[in-house]
Amino acid sequence: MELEHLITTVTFLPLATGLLLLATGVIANALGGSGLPPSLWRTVGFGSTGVTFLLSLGFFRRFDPTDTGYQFVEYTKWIPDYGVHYHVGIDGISLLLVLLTTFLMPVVLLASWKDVQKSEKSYVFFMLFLETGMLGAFVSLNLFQFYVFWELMLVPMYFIIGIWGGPRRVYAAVKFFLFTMVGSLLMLVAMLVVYSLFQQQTGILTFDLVSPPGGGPALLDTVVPLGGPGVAWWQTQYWLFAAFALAFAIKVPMVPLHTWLPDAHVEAPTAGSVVLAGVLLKMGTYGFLRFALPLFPAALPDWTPTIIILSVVGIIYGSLVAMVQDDIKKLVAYSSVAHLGFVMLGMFALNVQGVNGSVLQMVNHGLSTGALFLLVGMLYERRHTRQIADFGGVAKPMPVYAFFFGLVTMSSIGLPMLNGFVGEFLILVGSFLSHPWATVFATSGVVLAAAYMLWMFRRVLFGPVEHAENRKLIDLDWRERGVLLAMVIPIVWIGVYPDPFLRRIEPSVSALLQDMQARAELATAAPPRPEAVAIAVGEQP
Amino acid sequence: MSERANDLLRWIPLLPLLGAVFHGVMIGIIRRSTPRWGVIAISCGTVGLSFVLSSVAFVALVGIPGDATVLVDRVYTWIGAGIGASRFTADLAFRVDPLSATMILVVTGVGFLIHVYSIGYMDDDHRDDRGFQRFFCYLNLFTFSMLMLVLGDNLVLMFLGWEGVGLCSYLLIGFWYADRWNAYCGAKAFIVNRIGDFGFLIGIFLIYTALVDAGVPAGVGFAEIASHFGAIADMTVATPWGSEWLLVDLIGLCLFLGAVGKSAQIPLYVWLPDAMAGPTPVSALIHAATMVTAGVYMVCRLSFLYAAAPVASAVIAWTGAVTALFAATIAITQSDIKKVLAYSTVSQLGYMFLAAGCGGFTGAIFHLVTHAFFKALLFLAAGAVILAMHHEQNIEKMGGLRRRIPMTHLVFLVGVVAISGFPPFSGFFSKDEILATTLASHLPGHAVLYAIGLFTAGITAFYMWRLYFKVFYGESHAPADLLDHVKDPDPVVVNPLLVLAFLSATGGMLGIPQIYGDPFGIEHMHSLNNFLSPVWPAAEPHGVAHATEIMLTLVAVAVALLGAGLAYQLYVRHPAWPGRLAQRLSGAYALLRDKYYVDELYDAVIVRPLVKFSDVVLFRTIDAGLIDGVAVNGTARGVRALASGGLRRLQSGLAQGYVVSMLVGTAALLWYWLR
Amino acid sequence: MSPPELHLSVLGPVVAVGIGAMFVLIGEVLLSRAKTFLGRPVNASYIGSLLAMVSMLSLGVATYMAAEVASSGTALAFNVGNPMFQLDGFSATVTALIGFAALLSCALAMHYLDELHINHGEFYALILFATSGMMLLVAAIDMLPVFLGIELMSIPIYVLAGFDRRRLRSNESAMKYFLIGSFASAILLYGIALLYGVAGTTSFDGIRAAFDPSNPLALGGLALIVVGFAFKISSVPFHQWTPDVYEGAPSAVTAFMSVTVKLAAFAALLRVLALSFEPLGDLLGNVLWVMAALTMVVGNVMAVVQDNIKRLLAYSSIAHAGYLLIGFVPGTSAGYSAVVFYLIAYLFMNLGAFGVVVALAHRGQDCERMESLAGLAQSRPGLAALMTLFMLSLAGIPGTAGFTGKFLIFSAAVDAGQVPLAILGVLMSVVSVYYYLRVPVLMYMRDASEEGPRADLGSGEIVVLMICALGVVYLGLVPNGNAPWPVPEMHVLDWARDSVAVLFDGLSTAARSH
Repeated sequence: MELEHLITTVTFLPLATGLLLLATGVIANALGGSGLPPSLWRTVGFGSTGVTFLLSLGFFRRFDPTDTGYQFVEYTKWIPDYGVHYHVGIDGISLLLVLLTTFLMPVVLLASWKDVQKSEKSYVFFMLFLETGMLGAFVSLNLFQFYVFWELMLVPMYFIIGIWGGPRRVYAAVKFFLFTMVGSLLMLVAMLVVYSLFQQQTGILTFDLVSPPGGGPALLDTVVPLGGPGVAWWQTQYWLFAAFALAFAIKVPMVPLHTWLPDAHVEAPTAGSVVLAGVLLKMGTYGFLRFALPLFPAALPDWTPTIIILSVVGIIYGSLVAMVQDDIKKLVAYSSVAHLGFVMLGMFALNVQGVNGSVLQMVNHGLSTGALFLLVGMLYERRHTRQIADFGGVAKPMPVYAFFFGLVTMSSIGLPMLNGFVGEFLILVGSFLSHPWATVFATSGVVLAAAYMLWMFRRVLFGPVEHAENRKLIDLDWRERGVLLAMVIPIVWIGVYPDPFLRRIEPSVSALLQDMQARAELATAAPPRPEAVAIAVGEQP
Repeated sequence: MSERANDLLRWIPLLPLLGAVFHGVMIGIIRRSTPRWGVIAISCGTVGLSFVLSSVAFVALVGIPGDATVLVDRVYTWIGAGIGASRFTADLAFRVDPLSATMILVVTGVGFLIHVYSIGYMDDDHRDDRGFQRFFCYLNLFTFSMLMLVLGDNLVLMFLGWEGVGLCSYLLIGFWYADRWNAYCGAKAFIVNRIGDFGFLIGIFLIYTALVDAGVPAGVGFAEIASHFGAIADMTVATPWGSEWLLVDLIGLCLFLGAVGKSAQIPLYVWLPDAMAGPTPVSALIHAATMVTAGVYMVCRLSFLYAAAPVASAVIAWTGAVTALFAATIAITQSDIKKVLAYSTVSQLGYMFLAAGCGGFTGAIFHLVTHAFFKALLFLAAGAVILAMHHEQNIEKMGGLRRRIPMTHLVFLVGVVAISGFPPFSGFFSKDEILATTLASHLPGHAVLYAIGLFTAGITAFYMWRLYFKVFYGESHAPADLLDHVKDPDPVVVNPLLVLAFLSATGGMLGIPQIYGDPFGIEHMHSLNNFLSPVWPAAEPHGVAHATEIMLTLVAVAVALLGAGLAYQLYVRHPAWPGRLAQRLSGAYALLRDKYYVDELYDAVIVRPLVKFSDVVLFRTIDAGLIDGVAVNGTARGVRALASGGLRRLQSGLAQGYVVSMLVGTAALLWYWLR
Repeated sequence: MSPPELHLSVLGPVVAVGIGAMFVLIGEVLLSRAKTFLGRPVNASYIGSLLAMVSMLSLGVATYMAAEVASSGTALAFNVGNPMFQLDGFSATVTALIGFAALLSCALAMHYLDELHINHGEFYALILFATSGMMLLVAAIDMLPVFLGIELMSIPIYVLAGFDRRRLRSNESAMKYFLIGSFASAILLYGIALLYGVAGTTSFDGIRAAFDPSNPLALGGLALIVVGFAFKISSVPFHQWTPDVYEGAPSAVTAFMSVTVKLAAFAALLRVLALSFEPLGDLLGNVLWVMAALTMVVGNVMAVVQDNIKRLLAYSSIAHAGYLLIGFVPGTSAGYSAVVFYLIAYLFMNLGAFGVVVALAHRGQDCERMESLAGLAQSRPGLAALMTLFMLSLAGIPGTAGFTGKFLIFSAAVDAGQVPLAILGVLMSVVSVYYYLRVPVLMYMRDASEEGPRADLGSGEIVVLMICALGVVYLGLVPNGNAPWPVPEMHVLDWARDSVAVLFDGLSTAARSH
């Protein structure tokens, strides 16, 4: 079917479904009925996420790789006097992340078909709410609107962790919320500074990142000063980038801002962990790419070294700490820190190879780590423990489980022919062009990844079956096999034939990099500053 | 060969993959049992077919006139990113030139034989309801990966196979996963290999970056690298410690690190002996005939690079020589039949690297081929022995088996003769060529290298014959009730042995040096060299006078005989001597028996400290202590303290107090304005 | 001497409310004598609801009249010759808001008073009197009616604070509030006197014209006036009565005063400071800066350690006074309109939050301890959801009125280069998130405590909570109309902006340099 409001439909369908169910339930209650049965909620919720995914496939099919701009753009006035508009669009960078989100949601709903027992209705509602929040953040081209979605998605996630989580769920949920708030509120101030700078320069108030269809003001055209006379410290690219970077770095998370992640992951229910690792962390990396880098390119010469070092530290630190965890989920959580380190490394290679790889790796991490959390969840459902020591020899009673676990493990340690390798390799190739030494250290993460993943894999699945409870474990049923199969198919596809994805990412990325270079020169030109160097675009730095 | 026919190449690796995928889906997802004959048909059938295809490709290759003999089958762009000249592309493309043709014939040929052998060998394995199919699944997957490694037309694709074989090795070593030790050995093999892969990756990055720097179209395809090699041949890099290095040397060393891991050279050889935890066919196929030789293949594949990299070549040669000697000495004292063969493999691989380092790439490949024959034979024969002895591997518990299992004895003997280099068996020719190459090379200290090689040849002969005598001669040490059942295995196991025995005996004919004149009326006897030489134009042919070469041969044979004779003296004539010798030299004996304590060393110096550091310093101190404890929760505590400590005091609940603070506020305001 | 030209309509709202109060007083006397009324037996709750109806009616009328004036955009001064009250865009808007807030408070109180068995008619009368005082206060353009309004507003509230006679805490808080309140009024009065001494008049324009910063009397007078208002808006260090009174007073009263008093006091302060004593230069700005900073920090930090829901909300209201003060610092119309909008948002979210507290009062007991919220999501999912919404709004989560308000305030501050203050503000809102989140934590993530909430909600409470929720969401999503779905278009942002326009280019003609 032909939809001119495809993005809006996809974004709001889940929330709309949720509200509809809620309303029907209230009415049913008012009419003396006993509300809607949870099973109905589950089914309808799953259905709507499924439909959302099918609709979102339209983006992939109709996406035009030759067009470096935004596609499927929609633009409506919201609070025009304040330059706040409903402005959505998709480019090669957000395309895959949107698809990843719409793909993961039905999968996790199916995965948590059984394990969520208490107040399922609210669970389904929060899940739908969450999906709308995440999609909205990915498609927003208006800073205000992005911020609204960015914060809005905290609320359902907070409840998902806090209500359906483990023993320390409250601590984890609040920690998750506060960590993010610190960063994002400072980012809000930075946004307002850019907003007022733009007004001082053009007399126009707008939050649009890029020009609306048919031309118009765009915040990207703000000439953010590098410093000099009459410029307050908080008006400089250096500090504004810092504010944005802090918000996104917390979300990524980059060492040393990562400590909320292990807690959130360990306490969150399976579906929560999957969405958290799969999508929410990408909010950070995506934010860097969509907002922080293009808005303040001239700040990069000052900040790139720091970020590169933090990424490399994150890779090694995360891997080493993961190696000594005795809780499977915590191990996977720290492995996420390491993987996201790779993503950041590739991004700040600031060349097409690196950024391409890092965008692809966002998706890859979502798939493989998401699948890992699903697998851990399935084991937890059966044994109600995540301690590695409580397992061993599980491959014997659960061969199918072992098969999937093995495959996903291999994908997460970047075995060629599976998705992880393609992204990691491009990232390393790219960053080796820009930062050879950092890359050498980062590459050692490949060895460490094998070490901690295989260590865990061996301790859980291999060896003799010692605990009697493990002897009578039931293997995966067809629902679970279906869930995992759904995750494995893209994992293999991207590994074997990534071209369809890379082809769609690349044009936007190279356009972005060229654009950044141009803006950086513009900013440096205004008040001449010798030490500011240009940014590498594809070619040598 | 027409384009149409080129497309056949992709099926050589694809067929085994299809087999593996089928098995994988059946046992991994659907979980329906496949009939035994189906498993056999699919796994052996696919490998057999790809052997046929390889032969077709070989014939087609020979059919091509001229020197530039290569077939390429480009399927699609696998990984591509970047713009302009610096665009990085890695195609899914397969390349058959004399080198890879030789390799795929060995891989599929020997692979097929071992598949067949496994039918018999794995038959009595009932530890896992679908173990049989699982085994063949892994075996097919391995064949696929190995073929990718060999056929891949660029470094990334080669790396794909490189990691793939690593994975299969991991899976097959830990095949009987219920035993914790096997699982451990598998993981160890994979991780140690990853250390090598680290170097391999850096090597790829270096080549790519160098090409980008040079401004030439940067691709990692072997053809592109070779054609643009001139641009980077004389680039130099500044080492952290000041001195200037040839970039190609650095690249060569990085890639060689990969080879060291995969081909079990010092210091990364430690995984191979433990890899013997896997089923014996696996040891034969992966840890003797094919996978472990991947490093040698890689060095030869990049011969043009190593020919231009003196330092790297020297390092390779020396690593090879030292490893050869080192492993051989350990092999002397091992009492596990497979362990002996494992260390022997490490040692033989050392030979190959010695040759490659000295620029004798033909020699390296030659020995690779013959070694594939006789070492596979030895392992499979050993497997037959183990089978006959009901999974007994300790040679101290064997002896006197030559009458009870005559066939096995015969083929084992052929293998022993071949490896210890008695003419005219295959090992003789290849080892000779290597020694001659070494002596003729211009490397620093090539004489020493030659001496080491020669000495090692002697030790090799000694420990192989020791093994032979201890298993097949003397009186039996096995319990009588077991001995009654000891018999030669079924034909399905024996026939592959016979084929391999034949090959080990005659394989040397591939490369008969000049000196033996021209009995068969071919203008140049060294057919393998004729076939391969186009692949490495850069390598300088070694020139030794015929007289010298004859003398070298005689010396080598003499040394081999010496070793064998010594073994005969010690283990047949005077069986008591070895024990006494061991007591006399107890220190040295223990050192050898315990493999120089290298494993223990690594564990104490690297593994434990790293884990301890991560746990105590990183996790407990920094993560939980500093970041979370002090920074995060500390802030929260601070806020609470500020409230309950400081501000709450002011909130006394007494109206007077409130009035006072209001007055203070008012006073402050007045002061600020009226001062 | 011609008779003074009077515009009685200016006093319309006040009069309406006053008349309502009269009816309430008389009505109670009569009803309490009657056996039956309109065919129904008379009892306390019946009387209460009837009187509530009356007062709501009068408040409704007042609100409507004010809204009319506000939308008409006319500015009328009562007694043009000697203007004391003026109903213009600004005062009319605020008057309407106050009337509306009072109306909601009455609706909220009906059931609550029954529940606490303190259903006496004077309650509504006092509410109405206080409201009329506030209306005078915001309409005043002369210092005397300012004082008059403040007193007329405060005295009934002193009484209301102690309305639950049986409870010691209630009486104590009333006493405290009365003592300190009169102290503050005295200071204010003294300030007025000083300014009068300087200017020889008490009218705003006269004072502004004669204001001379070099004159210590003028400065002192202004300072004392600022102090007087600072007390009413409970800004640090004049805030300490707030937690005690909010805690002690009956919840319904707290709900009423927490919203309306802030509205009135802030509006009057705006009007006074909008006179912009520009010769003052930074002196005024700096003082406001410090007050804002202190108020935010103390309010938020202290709220973290509270275990009493009413005390927590008291400190939260102090914190919000801090955010509001940020809007004063730049002295720009953007800042002032932000303050007005924030007050509107605050009306809905705070009344909503207290409304839930009111609704949770049962068995003659106010809902006090945080723990009594535990497990509310199971027993009363709807109530829990609403409370969560109000908490998120107070915390300033996007999609709610609270965020729009904060956005406007901080945006105004940043525009005027007050970035450090804005940063302090956002950091403090992070702290606030912590204690606001404790409420949903209790309601959703803890199991119910022994004493469950009361079974039934009064219809008044339900309506009020619904209205507040709708307001919070509406102001959060479409603060200026343009809703994609069919809802009444209310351009609240425009109202806020237009209303303050008067302050800048209204009757007073002085040039303003900002």
